Amino acid sequence: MSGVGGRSIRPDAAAKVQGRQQYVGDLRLPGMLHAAILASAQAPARIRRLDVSAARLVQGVVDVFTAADLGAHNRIGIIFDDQPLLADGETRMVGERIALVVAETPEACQAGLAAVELELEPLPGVYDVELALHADTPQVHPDGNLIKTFAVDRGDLEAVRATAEVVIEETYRIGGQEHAYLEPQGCLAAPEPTGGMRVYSSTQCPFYVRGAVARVLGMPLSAVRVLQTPTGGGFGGKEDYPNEIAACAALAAQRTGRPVRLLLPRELDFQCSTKRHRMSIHHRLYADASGRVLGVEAEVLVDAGAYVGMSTVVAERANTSLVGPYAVDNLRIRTQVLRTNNLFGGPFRGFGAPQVTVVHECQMDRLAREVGLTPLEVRRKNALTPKRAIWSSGEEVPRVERLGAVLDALAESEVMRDSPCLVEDGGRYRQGTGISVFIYGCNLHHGGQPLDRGGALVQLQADGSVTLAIGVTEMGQGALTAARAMAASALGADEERIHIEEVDTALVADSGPTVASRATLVGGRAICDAAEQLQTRLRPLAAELLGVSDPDTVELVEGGYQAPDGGRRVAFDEVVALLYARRLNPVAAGWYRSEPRDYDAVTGQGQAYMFYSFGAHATRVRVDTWTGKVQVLSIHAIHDVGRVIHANAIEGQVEGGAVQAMGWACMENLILEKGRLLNPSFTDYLVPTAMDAPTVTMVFLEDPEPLGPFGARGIGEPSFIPGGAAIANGIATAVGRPVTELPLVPERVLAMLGKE
Amino acid sequence: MSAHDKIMTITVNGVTHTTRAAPTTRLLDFLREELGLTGAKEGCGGGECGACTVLVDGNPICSCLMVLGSAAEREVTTIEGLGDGAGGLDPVQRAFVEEGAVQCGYCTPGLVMSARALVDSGRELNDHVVRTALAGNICRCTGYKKVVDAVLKVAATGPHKEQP
Amino acid sequence: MNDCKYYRPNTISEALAILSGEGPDARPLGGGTDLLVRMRAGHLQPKVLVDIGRIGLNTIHPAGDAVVLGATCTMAQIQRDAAVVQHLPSLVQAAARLGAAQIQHMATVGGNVCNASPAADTACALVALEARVMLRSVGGVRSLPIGEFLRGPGDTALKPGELLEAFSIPLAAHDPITHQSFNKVGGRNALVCSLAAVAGVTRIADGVVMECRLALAAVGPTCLRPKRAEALITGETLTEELCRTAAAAAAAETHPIDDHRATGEYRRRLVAALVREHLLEAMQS
Repeated sequence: MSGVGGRSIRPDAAAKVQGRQQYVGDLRLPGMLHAAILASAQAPARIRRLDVSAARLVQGVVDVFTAADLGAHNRIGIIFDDQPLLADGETRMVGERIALVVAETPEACQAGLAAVELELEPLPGVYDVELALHADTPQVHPDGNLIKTFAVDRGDLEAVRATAEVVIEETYRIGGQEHAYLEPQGCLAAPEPTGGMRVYSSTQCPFYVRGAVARVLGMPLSAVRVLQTPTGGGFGGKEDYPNEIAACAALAAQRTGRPVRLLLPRELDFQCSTKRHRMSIHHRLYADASGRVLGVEAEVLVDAGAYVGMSTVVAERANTSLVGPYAVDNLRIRTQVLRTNNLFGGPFRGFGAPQVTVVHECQMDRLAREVGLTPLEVRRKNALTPKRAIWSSGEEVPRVERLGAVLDALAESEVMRDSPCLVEDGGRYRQGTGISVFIYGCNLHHGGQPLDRGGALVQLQADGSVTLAIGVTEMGQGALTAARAMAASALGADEERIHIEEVDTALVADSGPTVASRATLVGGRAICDAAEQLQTRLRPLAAELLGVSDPDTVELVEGGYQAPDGGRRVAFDEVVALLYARRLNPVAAGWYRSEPRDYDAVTGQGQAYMFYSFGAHATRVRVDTWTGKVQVLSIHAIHDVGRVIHANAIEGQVEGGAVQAMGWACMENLILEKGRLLNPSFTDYLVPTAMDAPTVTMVFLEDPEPLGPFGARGIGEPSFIPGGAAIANGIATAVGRPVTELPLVPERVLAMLGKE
Repeated sequence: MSAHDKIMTITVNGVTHTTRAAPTTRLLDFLREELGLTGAKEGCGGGECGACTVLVDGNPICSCLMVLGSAAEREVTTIEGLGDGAGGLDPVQRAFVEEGAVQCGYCTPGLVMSARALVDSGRELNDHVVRTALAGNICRCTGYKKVVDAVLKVAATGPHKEQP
Repeated sequence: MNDCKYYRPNTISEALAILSGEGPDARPLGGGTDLLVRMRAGHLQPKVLVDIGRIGLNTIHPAGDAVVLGATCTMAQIQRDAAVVQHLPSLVQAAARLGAAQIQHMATVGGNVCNASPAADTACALVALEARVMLRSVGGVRSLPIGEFLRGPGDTALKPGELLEAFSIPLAAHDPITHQSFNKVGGRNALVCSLAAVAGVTRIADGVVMECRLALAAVGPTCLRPKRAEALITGETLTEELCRTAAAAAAAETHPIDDHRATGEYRRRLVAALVREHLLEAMQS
């Protein structure tokens, strides 16, 4: 079966299994130069001396650039204008770019880097986000250590605080995460003979890249063309960070007049690229003796690193989502985005939601234990329902009975039949079941509305094949596969003959970033819009061929059109051939734009998200009480996805997201010393191997979303969000101790077990 | 005795090449830069991710950690050497495609080579054996399930390289 | 790395002549899985690499009541050799847990020992097996117990111009009653450096420990033998309680450091766990 709901082969699979797919590191252009970055090894520090004259003279080096060469164009901050492209007078983060070397060969680049004379004078730094606002803490940046505060205020939290019978209070310290995409960051920029710049970028948002390059080069947007290269993984790590890489490559290309390729070595990528935010969350849950949550009070400290990047956007989602999928009338939440000299916080699958999900789910389990309910019972008691549908944002969550369906599916999962805690092997091993439930605000938060639009260009070819260009990027998740399936269903065209490639900013208008699980939504809606326009031209022709008088009564079926009497059919190819014979326009430019909605960013009240989806994990872990090592045995995932667009692709997302979340929860530890990563390599930053991955099973609840294409809600982030929380709860159940920190590496778990 | 400044020969995908490249050149760089075989990828440069996996005398190795001098006079097989060279897929490649074991694709060439070597070993395959053999290939996208399914499918349906 | 001279001799004599001629800046190259990684990180900058992959040191053969394991035997070879599988299962387990498949086809047992990381896996097994290292130079041959060969992190008794040629590993005369094992703990299940590892060779007859050799890795400057713990149980009847006590004693003999991977205290607890596990298995087998 093809089209929506099918299992077609993804269009780029053959190229990838044959090694023919060309990633940016595989591209070569005549006269191409190589670039490399000299990054700071300590921060904060004053740049006491920076002399690149010797480096410029190294054999093979073409030029070396510093802040002095950029002047007023030395700006790269994506939201706030707080960040230089090349450090100017001081460096605020380890891994910050200080100089850019451009040379004929990679070896000459290395020789050039070694010849740069750099003297840094270390300054006192801020390495603990919990101290960022203390009186005598140094200022990381002239703009101050507090970047922004988000709040949620509802009801009367003071009254609840005074009268609640049960209080669960804890400070959770949730570690960050490195995306560890297999393809490191990279870009190839080539000056156009006509004066523009062509940029080949491994990116989730070619439009951001175009904007950053135009800004640094002082060019109009129309002169910059960005082609997304096949991208070897993103997960949010290639949402904004590629701007910085592309700006460097393009700067070098402009100044040298030659193509320049910049590829980050893995160690530097580890140190300098964006990371999931580390968060410190002080949470108070107020309840009555029956386990009904009356109020939630929390202070969330978001460790942004030295520069804002997209930290405010991440914090906004965390702030709104902190309460979880529960009906809580009294809320006082404060989320502060804080500067430190630690790693550069940025977007990563879940975008602040995974961290707060760990907190709300651990707190719910502790409440359950306190009042004598099971984890599932306490969630049923507090879950949003049609009668209690108001969420933290004060809005009524639509079709909230789907959360009930998720809880029902959770109750029915096989692992819930096992005893929640099991002791094996004379006590050495302890198994535990953990659950987590979440609500996910689909697509961009209200604050992201200026970005929430997207395009699709559909060109019908004379032989019935279709050329499709969209604005959302493929990074492995299956955006192209889903787009093709949706185009096939929307047009009645043959899926196999729909040709689609990576995004080109010259073909499709700014469609925003491929994030927030919006690829299917934005791509699908834009494709459907283009298809509708084409149908206004195709249907009358189909009617003509079928001998039907009213084109509106002609039905779209797989492969073509059908007469209303259910009898005669005409193939899509034939109708298109007629379109061509009549010299009618075979092209349509589709557009998607979200509807405006009301929201007050100061109070956090209003319609925060376009629509919502729900989900849960039920996870079984085994803890070795002698070593603290945790084996995640199984993860059962339940997702309210609206509609499965492509069965194989959605499974791949759920399996991949669960394992990536397991890595975050159990083994991925960013070990810092004064802002410097002590483990900037796969040797000691451990991501799951095939031998670590648990069994993942899944259930999809398909209750169509009215605003989603074909009813789909998106899966990119929901597939990750509940993972860490369920594992944390499983471990807490197995060992009978609360979890308060992530990652739960073996040493930490052993410490939880206490001295024996 | 000395191998520097000498001509070396190396057979890659059945074709014997002669080269004056420095014997300390990484095999990965030799394949990618001198022979233009860019299927093998650099993911880490330290033998920790497997994206650079190629076969040397049938054994999967990390080409980022092998120097040209060590590989000279041996038989190297890269991803480009699988299949019929005209777009026809090797059974392992075909299984990866059909099972949906490919997402971003960056780890795929290395993973396919490791899988190919495993299937060729003639060992009896089960979930544990496959996962152990693929543990040196990091994949960040798939969670490994469909990869393991693909390899077990090849084992079940017959691993022979020549298939109609 | 292109500044490095490279030789690929065809015989041991050629290799030794080069090593002797080029002096201390020359390093033998086996699988490269440690050497090339350390060179890329800038920790080592040898001026000369001597590729010893084709001088015939990759054989495994019996020699009296010992097995002679050539220095360039790979982890994969070790796992496939029938004699090693039958008589040295702890070594096989160590080879199987080192890195992952690709590394196992490249890494050599000689390289693992000469690199002398305190966490080295096969070195740990060889210490418990009381292997001897056979060293050869243009001047002749000598052999040393492996415990004397390993001197500290990155430091061995290798003299300039000397090559580690092979290991001679004694086989127990009758070993159905000897339990051998190797186990390590790391942050994930494969491709991981040991936070601690333990190899054990314990011979029990009628419930009484005739001999116990334990080797503890990653908990001191070199792999160490906890002699007091070994003495504690030799001649005793093994019980669950004694296993626990001996394990604690073994841990107490270690000197683990705190580093970014783990604290010393945690490593001690791992050693206790792994030793206890080995002894319980020995008791039950």
